[in-house]
Amino acid sequence: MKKINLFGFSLLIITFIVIIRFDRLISIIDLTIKFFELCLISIDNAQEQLNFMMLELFFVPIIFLGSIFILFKYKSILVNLRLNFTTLFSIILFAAVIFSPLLITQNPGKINNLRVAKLLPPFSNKMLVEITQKTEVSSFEKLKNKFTSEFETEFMFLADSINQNEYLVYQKNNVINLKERSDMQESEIKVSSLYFILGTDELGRDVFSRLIYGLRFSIFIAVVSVLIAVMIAGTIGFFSGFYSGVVGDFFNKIIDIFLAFPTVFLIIILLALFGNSLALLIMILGITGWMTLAKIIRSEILISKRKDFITADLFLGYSKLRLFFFELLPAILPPVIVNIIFLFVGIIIVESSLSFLGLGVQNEFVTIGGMINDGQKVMSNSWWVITFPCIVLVMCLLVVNSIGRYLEQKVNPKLEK
Amino acid sequence: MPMKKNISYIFLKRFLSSIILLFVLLSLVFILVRLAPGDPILRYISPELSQDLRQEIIEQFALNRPLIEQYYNFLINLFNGDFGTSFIFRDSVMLVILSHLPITFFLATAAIILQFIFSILITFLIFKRDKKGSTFIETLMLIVYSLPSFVIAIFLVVLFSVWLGVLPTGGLTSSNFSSLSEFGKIFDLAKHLVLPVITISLPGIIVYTKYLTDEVSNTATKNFVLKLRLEGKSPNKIYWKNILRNSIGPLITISGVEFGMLLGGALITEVVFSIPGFGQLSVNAVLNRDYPLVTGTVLFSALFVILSNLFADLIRLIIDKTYYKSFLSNEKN
Amino acid sequence: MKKKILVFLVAPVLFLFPSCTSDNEENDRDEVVIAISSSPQSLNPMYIFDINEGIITELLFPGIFLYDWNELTSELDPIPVLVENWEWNIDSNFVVLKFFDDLKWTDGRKISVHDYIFSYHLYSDPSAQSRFYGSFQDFNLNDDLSINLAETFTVIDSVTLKIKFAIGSNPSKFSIDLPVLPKHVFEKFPKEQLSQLKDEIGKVTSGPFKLKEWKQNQSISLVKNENSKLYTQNNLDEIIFAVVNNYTSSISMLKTGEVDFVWDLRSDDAIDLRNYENLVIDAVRGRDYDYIAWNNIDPGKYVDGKIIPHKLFGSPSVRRALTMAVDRKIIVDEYLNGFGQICNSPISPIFSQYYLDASDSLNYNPSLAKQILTNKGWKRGSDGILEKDGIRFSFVLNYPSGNPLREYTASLIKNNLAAIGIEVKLESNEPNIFFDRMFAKEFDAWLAGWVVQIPLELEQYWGSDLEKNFANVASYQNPVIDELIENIKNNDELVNSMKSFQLQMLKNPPLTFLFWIENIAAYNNRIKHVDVNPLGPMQKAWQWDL
Repeated sequence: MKKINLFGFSLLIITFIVIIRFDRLISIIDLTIKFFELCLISIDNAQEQLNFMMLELFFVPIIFLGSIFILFKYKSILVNLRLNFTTLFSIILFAAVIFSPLLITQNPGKINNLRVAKLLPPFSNKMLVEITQKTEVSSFEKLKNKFTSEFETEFMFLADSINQNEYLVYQKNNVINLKERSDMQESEIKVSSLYFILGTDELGRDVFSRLIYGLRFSIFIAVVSVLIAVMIAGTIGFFSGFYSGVVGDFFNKIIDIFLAFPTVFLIIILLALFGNSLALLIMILGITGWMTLAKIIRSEILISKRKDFITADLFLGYSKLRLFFFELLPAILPPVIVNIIFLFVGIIIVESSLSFLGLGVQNEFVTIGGMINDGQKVMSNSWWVITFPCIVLVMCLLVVNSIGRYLEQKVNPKLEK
Repeated sequence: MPMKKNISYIFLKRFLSSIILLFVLLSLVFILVRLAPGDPILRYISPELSQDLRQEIIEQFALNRPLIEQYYNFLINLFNGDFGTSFIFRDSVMLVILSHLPITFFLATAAIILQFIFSILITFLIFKRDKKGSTFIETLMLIVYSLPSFVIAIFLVVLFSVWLGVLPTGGLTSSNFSSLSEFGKIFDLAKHLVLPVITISLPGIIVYTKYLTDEVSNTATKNFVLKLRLEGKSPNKIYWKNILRNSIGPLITISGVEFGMLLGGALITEVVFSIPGFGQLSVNAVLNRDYPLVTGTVLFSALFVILSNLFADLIRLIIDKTYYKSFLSNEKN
Repeated sequence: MKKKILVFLVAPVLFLFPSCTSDNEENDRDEVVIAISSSPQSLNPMYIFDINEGIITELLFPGIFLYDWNELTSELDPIPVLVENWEWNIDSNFVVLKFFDDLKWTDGRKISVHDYIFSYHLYSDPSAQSRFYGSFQDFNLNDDLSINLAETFTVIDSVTLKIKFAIGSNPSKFSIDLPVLPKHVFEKFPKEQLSQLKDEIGKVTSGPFKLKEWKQNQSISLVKNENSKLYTQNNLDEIIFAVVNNYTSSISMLKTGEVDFVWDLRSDDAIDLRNYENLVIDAVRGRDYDYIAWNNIDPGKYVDGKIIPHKLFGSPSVRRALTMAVDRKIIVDEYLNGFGQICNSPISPIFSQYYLDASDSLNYNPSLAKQILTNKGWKRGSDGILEKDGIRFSFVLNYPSGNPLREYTASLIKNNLAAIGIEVKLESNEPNIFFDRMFAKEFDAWLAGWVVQIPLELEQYWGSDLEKNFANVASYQNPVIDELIENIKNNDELVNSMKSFQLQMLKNPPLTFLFWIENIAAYNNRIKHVDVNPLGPMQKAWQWDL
């Protein structure tokens, strides 16, 4: 394994994705072209058709080409890096995050017919029945529905099996006779098979697709919350440590007030006050997570301030800003980075615990934590719903940790023995 | 000794500022809960109950008075040591809180002790072992740390209670508790507390170990350690006698914060193991909009954090000589 | 050194092991342990608000009757507990109660009519603030709504009592059947303190059990009361109600035998538990139903005191169409796993005499639903959402968080309605906020449930007078229904009126009734004579036997 370099491996992953998801890639390109055609005909109509998922799909080819370009541009660096568990995980997770619209098999929010798709074990395979009407719906809309629809319609649904001659569709104990439908004369039936490689959850949603989107979303929530926390902690920690006297005391007291405030209580009361929207959740996770970091920054600054080189600098009359950026920051960075990593991990965990208590983001957003919580409800009879999110969470946090380690060594060469 | 005097002066100052802090906090909470949407007397709204009853209750809880008047009464009562009557328990807030405290206090203490013992031991293992061994331990720790505590708790329950059938699933005592002998009672209680204590202490053990290994590896490169090594002392002895003593300082500060937080209740663990602790009490108070109980629980948990921080500083002052100086200079300037 | 560490690490593990041995004895217990999900705050019948509190206090302080559910008449047959017989006069404006002669409280004091009068006095006293306060419309009242004792009660002797009702009132056996409290215990405390009493209450009871020990937030154990009329040799010696907050834990505890009785189970778990030979699964049918409420009136205008039909849901046929667009059967089949049935009116199938089986109407039929909406003028707009006079058919569906069934149903409704061109946005609310806003009629549409009261109560929920009937949260106003409710109240052609009521609910639905949810109970088969009836899985715990 040590012999493979990162460049080769990344290329391998990309090739693999292309081979596996070739048809989807083609349809995405098809959709993009059709959309531009529509734009030429009528901008207004095109605008109405646009939603977030569509935009994302359009970006797939761009991201795809872009990533190949970057890969080749930094080939010289990547060739020298060896594959180990950390880099392996990071590349897989990274690929999952940037290519998510390409990788998923279904809209992650899509609820499939429960008779067919409730709690399917991994590697299940069901029939997807599509009834194409020759009239009415344009081919663009059909494609769009295929990618973004969140629900089954009478034109596209899942089935256990189908008898094409008799026009009978079987869904567990339910039989649909397509002949009885009035619109069948001018329609044709297309049957394909749909794989659920990691199974489905209680609502018949595809675990694999949810996992990919959930990962992306959890990372997004955690990154933004950590950024908020770091900004608050940095400012307050800096003022409380760097300035002595009233200013320092004042900021130190602010940290104390928040530290003395029970976090869970703060989260719950804020969620109760403003309703649990996504933006609010991120804000809350940010403003409840910064205190320890601020304390650490403060104490590190206090310690560094007394060190000889700082005293010397102060004596020489350097500006405080310069002092902060060139002398203090590098000195306090290692412990701060360690803390930020734990903060990141902590925020993902807190988010999932909130889901456990019924206070997480609402079910239109998928998060890893929410998935773990869904899984623990059905843990006794369906192991896959909880296991895969747990694995991905652990993988993700391992990667974050080793990135932290790497940075730590970079800033603090002393550790690199 | 002038030093001693300084220290007590600092602590007194801290104590006074803490009281002001508490006051600000309580006022904030007082207003915040009343501004929050939700109805504290929702349980009295039901087709089975009379609306006249609701009016009576509103009057009794003084919910129809202006906010300022409620706040004024709250302050007056607070100075008399009266936190009011809980809406859900219909009992004095003080008594309700006191009845939930012993178990939480026990869990927090047990967790802190376990966390110290295990983090010191694991750090020692990492310190002694070659790189491969320590990477393994670190990875394992990270995996455990990455899992949310409710997953760990549920996993522990499935493993020890459902599969192995060794430990009880939840609660504090068995149903036949009162018929047991004194020893049996202690044993029964201990059996029920094993899993909760493990769940509560696991994340802490890992965080402590993380800080401790960083500190230890820092201390290990210091001159006096190298000197001791050159003198031929065994590395084990150096670890236990010299390095640990010089590295444990930050841990004590962190544990002060941690202990205060644990006293505020380990909500998830309490929910999973059905333990009637302080965490569940505070959350139920918020969810039911039990205003007096909310202010009461906030006051107490804030008090815990402040006191345990003070306490941790005291211990650190006794153990760590270098902290003495930095402590004085910190507070003075 | 290494050895020392090993000892450190191994010691806690060793500590666990002795416990293996003591485990198997648990199944030989001679008490029954019932898991309850929330901790009772009070055992005083005056202050119980929670279902668990209700179940326990009923075993301690029954009224003068206990009840048997009669399948045939769909009524409650009284079993005398404290009174030997009771006679109504013809106009039913007074009743004579004859208490049993030889009844004693657990402490040996005789149960007399003075206990009964004292209880009623206490319940109606404003300063005691009991849960019954304000609900004594059948009696002669003072200005503060307390019962006028002198006019109401006439003591004939220590076991015979005459109760006179207010003129024009309509009393029933339920008006005279509030829990009877021991006067000699309760009068020792000031009224304002009664709500704070814990252990003092429950030691002196008249029911089949008395309180043995109450460990706050952990468990309540009851032992049999040999003085009770319901006492037989076979009675359980002890019942323990153990608080298990976490649902998953309660299932594990049932499997390991730590508890014997769990109820309010999820259907998936019920199916799973069927594989355990020592467990019995049973269910209470037809007490709870979930519904999607469509606010009949405009919530914005209602704040200003105006009643204007809702712009989306004001029309009965739109509400019918919405019902038809929701696939209720799939939820009953797949989520409830058959532990439920489709609901079309608030009259439960347990009232077999009056129940109208309307299973064919309002069935899932999206194309018909679409058709009805088209006829009503809702046309497909350019973005695929229905439109009429510039109004898009788009609304927010609110539901309380923390209930998996409702979360599930909400997602399904969103999908079902999207399929016919209606945009639904979901919003979950913390329960306290949700119900607060629901009673304030702030929502356009929401998902919630009701419990059917026995005896059946309709006016509170469906009567047109919105001021008086605040449980009519969807602000449904229908004169036909009002008339039928009046007929039902006066027992005019009861069966017919009930059936027309249900037909009217189909024709002009106030909201979309979803399904009846069975309350599933699972218990260890060492408990015998468990009677799971509409009054609850544990209503007859005094009959249980090992």
